[in-house]
Amino acid sequence: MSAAVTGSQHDHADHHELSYAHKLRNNRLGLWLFCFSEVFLFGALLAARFYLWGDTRPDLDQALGLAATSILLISSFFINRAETAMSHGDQKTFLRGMMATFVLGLLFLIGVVGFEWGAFGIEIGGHAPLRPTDGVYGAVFYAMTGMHAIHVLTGLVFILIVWNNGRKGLYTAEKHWGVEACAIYWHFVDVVWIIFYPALYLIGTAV
Amino acid sequence: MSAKSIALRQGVYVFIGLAILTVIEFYMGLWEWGLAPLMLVALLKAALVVHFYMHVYRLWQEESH
Repeated sequence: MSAAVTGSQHDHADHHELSYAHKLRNNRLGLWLFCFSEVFLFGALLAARFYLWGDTRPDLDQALGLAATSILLISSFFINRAETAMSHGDQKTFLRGMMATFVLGLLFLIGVVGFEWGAFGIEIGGHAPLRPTDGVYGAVFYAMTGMHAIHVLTGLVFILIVWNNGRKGLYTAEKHWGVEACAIYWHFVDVVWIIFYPALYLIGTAV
Repeated sequence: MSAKSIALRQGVYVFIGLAILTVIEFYMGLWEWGLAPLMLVALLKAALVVHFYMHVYRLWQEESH
């Protein structure tokens, strides 16, 4: 009787383990499909850039572009570190990594919106900020950086939520899909910028 | 070396690779190398992130966390 009950409990536990693994696979597939659908949105903006700008580009501040790219790459390093730490049950490194990612993401946003868009009214390196009304250069530049900035902003909210959940101890080494999803989304935002950076700052002759 | 140390170290190596490629890309841009080489470097960087940081291969794996 006792053995039968224990066996039944094992079956029940196995069923739950299987269902979690199954859910995890579906969640991953769903998130990747979402990322894939976003590729079309950012791809359309990239196509607009090459159609309208051709082999030219606006004269943007190179140091700021490189700094923004570096900040985003470092943030990707930290969120990867946070996810790896959580997958090994290291809560402290996880929380520190998530917070570092949040701060770096915020710095990126300040760099692009505050300085590149000229929201602070500061001119860097004698460059007057490009305006959305500055013809095809302004329109495409603001469409690309604006759409990306919205994704960074939502990523920052996502990071804060996951950090707070982690602080409450809601994730374990075995079950931390929220952390993985947040990391995948943040890396996706980074990948978009990896492609946008040369398209905006490096390819073509500055006009 | 523990599995955690190996995984953390891999993250560092990937970041160093990304940093080196970004510096190369920056100078290629300054010297006006053109669309194809610059996009090639960008795609290489993106591939590194998608494989090592986003773990795209997990889509085909049976394991859970």
